[in-house]
Amino acid sequence: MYMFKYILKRIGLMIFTFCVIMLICFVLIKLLPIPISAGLGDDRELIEANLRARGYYDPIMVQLWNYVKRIVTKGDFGIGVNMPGYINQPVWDAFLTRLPPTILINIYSTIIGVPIGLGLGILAALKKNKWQDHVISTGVMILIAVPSIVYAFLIQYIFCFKLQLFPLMMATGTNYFTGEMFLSMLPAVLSLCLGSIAGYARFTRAELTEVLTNDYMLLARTKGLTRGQATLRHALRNSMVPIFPSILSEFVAVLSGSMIIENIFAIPGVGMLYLTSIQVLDYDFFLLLSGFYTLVGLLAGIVVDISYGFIDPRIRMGAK
Amino acid sequence: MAKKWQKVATVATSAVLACSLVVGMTACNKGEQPYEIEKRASTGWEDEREYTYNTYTAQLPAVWTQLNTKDAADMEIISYINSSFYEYDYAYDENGEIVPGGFEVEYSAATDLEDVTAKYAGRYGIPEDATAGKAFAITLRNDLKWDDGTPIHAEDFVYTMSQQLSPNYLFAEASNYYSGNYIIHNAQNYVYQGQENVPTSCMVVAGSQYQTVVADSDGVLHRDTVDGATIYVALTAASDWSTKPLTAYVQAGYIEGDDADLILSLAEEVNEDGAVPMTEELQSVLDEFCRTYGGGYDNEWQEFCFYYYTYPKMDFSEVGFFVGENENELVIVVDGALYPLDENGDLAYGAAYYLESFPLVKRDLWEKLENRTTTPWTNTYGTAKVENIASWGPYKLTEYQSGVTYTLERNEEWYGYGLEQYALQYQTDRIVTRYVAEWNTAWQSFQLGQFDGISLDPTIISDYRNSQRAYFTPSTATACLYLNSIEETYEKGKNIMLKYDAFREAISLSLDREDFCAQCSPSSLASLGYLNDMYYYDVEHGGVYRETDQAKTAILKAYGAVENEDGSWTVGSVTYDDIDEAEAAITGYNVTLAREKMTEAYEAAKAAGDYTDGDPIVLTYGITEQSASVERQRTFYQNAFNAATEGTPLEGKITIEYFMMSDANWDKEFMDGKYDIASAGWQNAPFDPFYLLGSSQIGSDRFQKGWDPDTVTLTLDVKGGEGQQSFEDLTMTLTEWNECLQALSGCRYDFKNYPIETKLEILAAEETAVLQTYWGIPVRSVYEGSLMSYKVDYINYEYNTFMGYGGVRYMSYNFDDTEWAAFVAEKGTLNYTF
Repeated sequence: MYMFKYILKRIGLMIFTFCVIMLICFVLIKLLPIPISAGLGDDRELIEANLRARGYYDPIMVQLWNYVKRIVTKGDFGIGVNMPGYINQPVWDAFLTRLPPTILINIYSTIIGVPIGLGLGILAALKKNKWQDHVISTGVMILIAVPSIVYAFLIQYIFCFKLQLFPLMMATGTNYFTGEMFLSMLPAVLSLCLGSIAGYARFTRAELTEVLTNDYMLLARTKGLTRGQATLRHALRNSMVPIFPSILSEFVAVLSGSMIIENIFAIPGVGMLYLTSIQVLDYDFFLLLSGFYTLVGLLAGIVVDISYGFIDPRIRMGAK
Repeated sequence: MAKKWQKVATVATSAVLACSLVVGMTACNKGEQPYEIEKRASTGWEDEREYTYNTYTAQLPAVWTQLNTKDAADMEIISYINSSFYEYDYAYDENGEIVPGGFEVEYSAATDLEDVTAKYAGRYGIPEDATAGKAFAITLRNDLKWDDGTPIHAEDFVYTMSQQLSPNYLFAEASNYYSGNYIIHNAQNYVYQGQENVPTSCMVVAGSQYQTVVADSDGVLHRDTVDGATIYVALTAASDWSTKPLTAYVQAGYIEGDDADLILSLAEEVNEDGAVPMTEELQSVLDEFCRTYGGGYDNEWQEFCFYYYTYPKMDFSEVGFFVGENENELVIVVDGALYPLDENGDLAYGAAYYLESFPLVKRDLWEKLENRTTTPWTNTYGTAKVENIASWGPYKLTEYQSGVTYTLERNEEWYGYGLEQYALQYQTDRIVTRYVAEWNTAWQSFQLGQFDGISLDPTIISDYRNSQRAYFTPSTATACLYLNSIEETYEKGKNIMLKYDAFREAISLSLDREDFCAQCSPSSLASLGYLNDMYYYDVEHGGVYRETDQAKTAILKAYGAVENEDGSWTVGSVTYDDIDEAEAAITGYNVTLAREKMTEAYEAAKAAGDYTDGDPIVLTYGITEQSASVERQRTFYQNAFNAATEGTPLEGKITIEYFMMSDANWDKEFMDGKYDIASAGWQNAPFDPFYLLGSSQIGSDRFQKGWDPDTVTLTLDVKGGEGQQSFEDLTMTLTEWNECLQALSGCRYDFKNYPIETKLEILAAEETAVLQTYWGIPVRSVYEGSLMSYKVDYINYEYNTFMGYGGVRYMSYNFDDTEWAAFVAEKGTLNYTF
């Protein structure tokens, strides 16, 4: 019951925070000068008349009211005004079209990155101060120090261009679950997950190393458990308490960091859409995508907090 | 032991990284021999083998209909799915060789063009006595079809134009038909119909003669109303008189005493347009001001005035665009005049330039995709989906994935396949365009044979500029360095030095434009004028403005050369008899003089209290994104400014800082003075240098908004032609010269139809005058370097203004798709260095 109340409270707070952030985004973007791209010979008054008819010159609060009303009553998030490829298209439809590639490369990145990262971290912890640990730690250090954009260029150049193991760009089409499509996504996935692998490995090694030196591990061994049993049943589970939330937060970080990777590998995801919406000042796209990234971040925070309780029964909000 | 392993691990990891880098460095296959490739002539559209042209774009076309195009990228699809009524073609000599720079105008989707002015005289605003240049009948081919076989008639074009000009849509592109190269009769009134209280200038021009509409429709002139509508006077806003408000003239001391007090007190009561209703007292002030400072013609005070006008409802039948005598005859009526036919009634260059085509939508599809629930209406025709567009051109859209790719394939219904004039052309069966935002990705794909052309990035251009597959395309753009001219934004210790002419001149003199091109834009050419070699003043006879003596004189005078009495020119300390040699000696780069000017600016600023010893000078450089290319440019300018201040009191004081600007509003932000340096340029209108220079550098569209062209006067002799008035030592402001040269609203004289030599003299004098303000400093003439793959070839690699390189129409293939796949598989990474 306490947990239930806690979750409700967090969701309420999340909605409040979301509204505040969106309000700030809305007001700030509307405070920018209205984009009028008029070249030589263009009729500026006609362009302004068009924008006026669209409500661009209404007071900001009026625009906000109309915006919210449209969403609530019609589910209408607006239409693209300046967004290349989506002029006069409903932004929601465009968003849904572009979401799968972004989600997929992030999920693939997590699926590949988590086991490898955890595995390397566990190995490094178990082989602490041995050559395996040093190799892993050095690799981790390099991977963390170098931004993912650098891996992206190296992976593209070496594996896609020189060795031609993968396509240079993501395959065309919307059937995202074919072997060809998966293969074409792999360079981007690798670029995204290398940093995550290093993060997981470093974190896991640190946590596991600490847990392995606890007294209860000695007790577990003295009870007769093998080293593997003790590590798996006691050390690993306990070390997962801080590690698991980090996976979620890493997923969010990767999601927002994939914008540039999408550019390099020509992936038609929402990251590119978000960047473009800012460049061309397409308000409706900007607000929808800002809302998306905000929501993802806030949801991840809640899930992380709640997950503590499930991972470690000792952590229960309000429990006595 | 642990440390030893740590070292081993570190060394091993480093070795792996080093190997990766070494692999990365071995990009070029140096030492390979050129491939032996036989260049094949085009086999045309009848060749049954498969020919696919694979290309890429950094910006996918957004809208594929002319009604609502957003930018040049949209034309990538539009140009293939539409046809031309009249089009340019290469001119050939008696041996069948292409005549360099030559052109011909041919019929394509139309079979005739007739001047029918006399037939429609007295209607559609055509004077009763007009006989030519006002109305034209375009006869369409009778076999025009959409890609699904539906026939196309003149009525379809009329319907489309009614949508183009529809007040329900308010398409920005509508202005092409009333403020572009020509004005379709009543086009603007149709678009604006129903709009209420539109501020409307009291100055209107009929033809090229200055007239006012301040009189009522019955001819009675009131000084405070027009047909009952109150006349307003712009006090705190720009007016036809000047971009500066009237209050600025009060502050500058042009209006003094009680008159000044009246203006300033009324300025506190202005409406949202910065104006107040006309009063007798105000009228008196304006009369006095115009008498003293104006051009000296009646009712000049109206240049400060406007009234609010509500456009009446109008039927499209009143617009000068309708079906003629039969279903295939389209008639267009223009205000002003057009001359698309030569004296023999044959097609002149203007036919393909002005009347190349009109927008066309497939009516049933357009109406199906129309959304009337929005304000203004919206329509998804020509966006997002293949099903949303129809083609009547040589290709049709068969695949479109937003953000990824689109494919155009041969439109078998096109009338051109089968015509003799298109024999051995259009060999390309399919055009596949992939969206690639990152140039490096495109470059690697190109080397793997996946793309058939690529633009050359500055980082590799030195390696490939001599490749046999490289070619360079000129553009009409001249990139300039514009400087912030908004005095209100100047701050001591930051950018206040910009207000000193000597400082700006020093900046101009500090630029080694050749070096700039070498370092920052290797495919460009150094430029000293606002108009490059692409501007023709006489299209029919190949007259290029930049090649005229007048244009050369403009450059020589602007950059300090001295004309001697014997006609020779002295540049620096060298005298040249030949103007070409003198012009060639001008570089615009003179560090010694730049330092003198810096010192001069310093002394003037110090004396005025604008500069104190030790003050920094911080200039903000507007950019939309930070990149290596942008940094190269900033570094170049920084080094140039450092050199120009070396040994002067300003040494080391100038710093260039980035200013992040919005891609959508960069021009407005610059014109508002939000940042100090903009790298920008104007282009297009290659056949009208008078328009481009006047509109972009002197007119209201100019970037240097804080500079008032009314403050610069020119005194010139004007030689009229037969029946035209000549003038000696005629003095007018730059604005007035520009208005007269283009016969714009309010012009004192109409020089538009004066002899070309006279017009060139005026144009050149204008260019010199604007250059010498140093608000806009030309740097480079923009060229784009590209590589063509071994798979394809253009018909000709000598750029032709009218035909470019012949495009897809004339493209030939050295390999069909199967052969190319085999070639790439055999060669692997292709080498384009030789």
